[in-house]
Amino acid sequence: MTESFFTLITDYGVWIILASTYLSCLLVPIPSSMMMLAGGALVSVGDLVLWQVVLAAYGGAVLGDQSGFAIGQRASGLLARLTSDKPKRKALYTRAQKVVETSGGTGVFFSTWLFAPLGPWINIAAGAAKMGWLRFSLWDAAGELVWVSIYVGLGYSFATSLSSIAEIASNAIGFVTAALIAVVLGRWLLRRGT
Amino acid sequence: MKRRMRDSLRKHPVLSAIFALALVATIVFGIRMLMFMAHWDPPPPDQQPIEGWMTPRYVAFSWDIPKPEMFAIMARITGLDNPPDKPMPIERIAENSGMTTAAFIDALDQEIAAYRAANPDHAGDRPHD
Repeated sequence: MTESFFTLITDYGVWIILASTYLSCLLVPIPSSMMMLAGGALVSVGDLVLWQVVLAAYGGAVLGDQSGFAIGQRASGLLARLTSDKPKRKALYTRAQKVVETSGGTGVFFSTWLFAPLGPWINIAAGAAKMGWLRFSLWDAAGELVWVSIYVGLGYSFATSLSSIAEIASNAIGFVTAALIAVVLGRWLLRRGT
Repeated sequence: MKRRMRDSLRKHPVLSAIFALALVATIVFGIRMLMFMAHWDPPPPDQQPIEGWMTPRYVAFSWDIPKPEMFAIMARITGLDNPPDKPMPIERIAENSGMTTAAFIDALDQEIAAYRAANPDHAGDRPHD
């Protein structure tokens, strides 16, 4: 499966990388991290050009996040209407907005790379909770730079052991993301028990 | 604390299930990560089995074949003198020269084996250049 994606890169070049990072930010299940690894590897053997690979991956990721954010913003009007006459829901929505206000920036930053599986959801949530566009964009742009640099860099450095490095990276990301969810939910459940 | 947790788990079954799932996932991903790291021999394994998505340059890099030699090999297999002007996967090159990918890879394997037999300095472990 992943191999057929690689063939697409060698056939059509960096546009495929752009498309895959864009779509994966919108929850389309494409192994975009593998695509960036392969892109880095093909740079190191001389088939692709570094700045083009980086720009394509980065452009796709940032545009994808912006799209998710815009979808969230659209939904915020709907959420406000849905919650306006339900005090309990309204309180929940207000609280969510407060969380975004206090720690939304760092949340967006880390969701783009360290907790990448949460990224698409966080973008939509940030838009829905009315996070400021500039604040979202700055944190997001910084985070995606980390994401793209790590994966293209790993692909470049470990060009001939792509599948091993991909296994380690995807399991590491899964590990920290699952651990984060467990810790957050565990704390919440513990507090609710009183 | 134990009791508080137990009460809470009972009161919020769905979130508790997600919590349990996240715990299991943490353990599974953690173990898999460690296993892959343990089995990853440094230096990185070269000489990857050739696959259809790889480009000639990638194969040359992986098998330590000088690029001019690789182009000569490709020309011998395809019967074409000039390499294409853009990188192509082996799958596509095979298709363009009317061969199946499997047959092409077989031919490539033989050429590489012959080259390495004739040039023992390129046949062993090597530091990356």
